[in-house]
Amino acid sequence: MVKMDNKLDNLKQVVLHMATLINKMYGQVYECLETMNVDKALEVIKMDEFVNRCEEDVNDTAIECLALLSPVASDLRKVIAAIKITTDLERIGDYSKNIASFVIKNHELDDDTKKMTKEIMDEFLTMLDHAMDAYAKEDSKWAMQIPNEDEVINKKFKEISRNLRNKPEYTTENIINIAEMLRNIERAGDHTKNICEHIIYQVKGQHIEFD
Amino acid sequence: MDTCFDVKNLNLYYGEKQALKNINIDLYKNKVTAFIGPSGCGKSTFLRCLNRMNDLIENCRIEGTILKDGVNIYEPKTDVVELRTKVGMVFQKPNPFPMSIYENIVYGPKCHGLKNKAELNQIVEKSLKQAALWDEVHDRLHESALGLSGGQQQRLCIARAIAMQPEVILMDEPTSALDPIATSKIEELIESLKKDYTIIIVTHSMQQASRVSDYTAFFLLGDMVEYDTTSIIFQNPKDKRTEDYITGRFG
Repeated sequence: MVKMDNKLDNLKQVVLHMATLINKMYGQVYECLETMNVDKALEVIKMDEFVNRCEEDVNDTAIECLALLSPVASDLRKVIAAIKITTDLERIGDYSKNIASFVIKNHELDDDTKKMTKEIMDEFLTMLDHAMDAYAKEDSKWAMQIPNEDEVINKKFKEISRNLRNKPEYTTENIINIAEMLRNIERAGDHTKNICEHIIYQVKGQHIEFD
Repeated sequence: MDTCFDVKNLNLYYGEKQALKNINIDLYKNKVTAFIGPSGCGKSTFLRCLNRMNDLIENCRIEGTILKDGVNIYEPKTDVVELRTKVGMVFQKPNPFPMSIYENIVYGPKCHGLKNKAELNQIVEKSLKQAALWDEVHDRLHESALGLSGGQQQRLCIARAIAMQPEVILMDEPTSALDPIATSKIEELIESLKKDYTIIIVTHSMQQASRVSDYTAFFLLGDMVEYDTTSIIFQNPKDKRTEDYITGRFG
């Protein structure tokens, strides 16, 4: 089954590469928020095309694998998990693109909000790193724990959103725009939680849904 | 769920060599059960235990019980001919008798003393229809069965088994000698027959087992390693040996 092993390894590498690209996108998009650099924000939007291409690669390889190699049991679960994880990663990539669009539309942030945005983004990137590490190691026990990190992200999101209301420099429209931008990070956390569900399915064959 | 066979602590020996080791399994009525495993694992041997075909093999010794409707089929008073009437069998290679299609079907009922022509005609039509062969052969019933294609011959063998009104049909690699189109017809037939019969099939094709069966048992070196719904066996088997075998990483 060298052919099957090669295909499965190929799928895994593309999924991990996709996560690395997303990590870079978020790193760059935070720089944009700090510096309000529109050119860098446009680069982030461009990077999303590569992420989308990774998703297509995974889908093509998965379809070829299903059509030609008839995977069953853990092989089948690996193929299905790869398809599902890339769907979530693709959405996570879209969210960083939305944050880049926020910068392009020239919405400025005060220092305090910048600091808190950096914190929530760090929390999210750590969670994503953990999830992808659990995927690489096929560690379902860890994947069961990682969704707890999403609670921290959700709490932070609520806290920043609340603080925004107490900032007189922002109009209501500003507050809505900033909250919407931050909502992208909160949603990215939810999708990372989905990734953990897919890892557990891949390893244990069990469908678990985190709240 | 109603069981068709309750197998308890079954051991089978060919001389000194143990071919089946403590098999315990409930086989369900009106379901298709597939036996899978590498060559020499005991799956065909076990299939043949279910209608005592192994009785014909010298040096074959069996311990344990196989209950059919609560009665051990290995009790000395069991009428083996009656058992094989209830538990029909279809083999790997189509083996029609060298006689007409019609005579192939009525052979069994005639041996059991049925002589009424109208009744025999009815059995022929019903059996061939159930075996999805009637439309192809109804205008040449008295021609030699050996003139049929391999797939048609195998369906004739199934019709011949059905003619005895069995409760169970055992199939030992019934499509391994057939092309994909004939195989697909037999697989469709298995699906349609399970509402009236219990079907137990030995197959080397993993895809066939996953396509046609409701339950799958995996055998290895005389042990029944795992038995569960086909869906679980092919998506999330519990035993690593099953996983290795069905994913082709065996050995």
